[in-house]
Amino acid sequence: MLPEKSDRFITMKIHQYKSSRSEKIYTFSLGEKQVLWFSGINKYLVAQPGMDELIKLIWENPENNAIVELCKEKFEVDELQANKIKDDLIKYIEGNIKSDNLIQPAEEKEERIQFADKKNTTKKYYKINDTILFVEYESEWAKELNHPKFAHLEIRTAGLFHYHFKVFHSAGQFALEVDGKSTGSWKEADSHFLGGKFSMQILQKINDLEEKEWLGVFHAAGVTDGNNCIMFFGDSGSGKSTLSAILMANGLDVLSDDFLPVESKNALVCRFPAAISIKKNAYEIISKQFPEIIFSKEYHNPDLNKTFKYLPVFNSDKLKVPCKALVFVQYRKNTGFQFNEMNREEAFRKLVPDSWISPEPENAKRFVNWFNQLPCYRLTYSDNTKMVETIKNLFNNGLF
Amino acid sequence: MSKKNNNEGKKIPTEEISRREAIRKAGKYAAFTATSMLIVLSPKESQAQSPTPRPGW
Repeated sequence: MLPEKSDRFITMKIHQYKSSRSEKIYTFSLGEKQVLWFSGINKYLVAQPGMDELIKLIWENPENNAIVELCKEKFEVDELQANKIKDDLIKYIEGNIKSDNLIQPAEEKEERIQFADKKNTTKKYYKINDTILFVEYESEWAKELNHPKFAHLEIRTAGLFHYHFKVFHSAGQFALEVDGKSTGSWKEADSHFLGGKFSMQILQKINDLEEKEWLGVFHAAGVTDGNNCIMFFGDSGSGKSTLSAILMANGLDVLSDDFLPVESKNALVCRFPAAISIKKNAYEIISKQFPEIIFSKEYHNPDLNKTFKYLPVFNSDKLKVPCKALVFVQYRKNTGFQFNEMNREEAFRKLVPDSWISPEPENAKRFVNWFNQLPCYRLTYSDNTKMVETIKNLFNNGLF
Repeated sequence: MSKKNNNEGKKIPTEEISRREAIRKAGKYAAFTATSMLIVLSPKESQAQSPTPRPGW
């Protein structure tokens, strides 16, 4: 059946896959360990020193006789044991790295997903520095997913705009189109990826940089003294946003509380001017410095059982600063204050799965080099005064 | 040389174990736990955003 004239189609790229062993392996150091990065599938393997040669041989050709010889030499074992080690390693690699990941896009098939071009879209204009975005939300849900974080940047009217975003929502799926070009589609259950892509597109437009020009976007809060940035990592609910707001109330500037981009070229942390999300249990403490939070609209996510409000960040100037330290934070009642250096490997293991790290080989290399030169700390606290004092000291002299 | 001194001579203080010896010992241990010394990490395939509101809430 032909679609109605008012309907429109979005052309989506559907990947078909084929097996391939063309991925290259890059090796980096991580303290005493080695990191092997697999291009094409963007996976990092942390290994003991000296394992890289063995992994590479297995990756290229598991039947290679040199593998058993190398196992014998490396582990000082006999033929039988060497074969067992080899089999274990092959099984591990097949199960954890290759399996269905031993694939890469072979061809792209175009598939037409139909989205009705509804007339009753919600239209919003946002001004971020000199860039004006015109956004159309096709449903209330599509709007609620994205608008609250940027509501403080809304302008009433705009005759002209630089970029046109459209968020479609039909038949249990979202899709995002920017200037008539599709950027992706997601099931409702994956709406956090729509939010991420929406933010990524805004980031690219306001900085005039393509996706491959970013090292990564980290699930972290970034706070700056104007010269450097300290990045705060932690699970959802660990208190990153609250900590950001408290530091903001104490004279520091928040670059982002959740979606923290690092530019690839100079490894600089950039501002992303979305509002800070404040969880319900932090309203009271935040209201002391930001009383407006009391009257802000409250939101709820029933799936995650989270209730929160947004605290606008009105400074949206294009600030880009180097990172001075990575801090893994956990707010825990009645713990006082603990601040210690953190094992680098543990920090890497926590950071990578929680972040989008560019799949470009040059960026992966820069990411590991960048990470390697940053000190890592663990902060567990309930004492806000001590926390603020320590973070300010860290900015001033790097010591604590 | 006294008996006491002989015993002391047999005992190799930790700091005197050569680097090669340490690697060899670690290697033998690793032979049986090679895969336990590997950790695979996958970054997110796409940028994501933390908890977002749901309509009507």
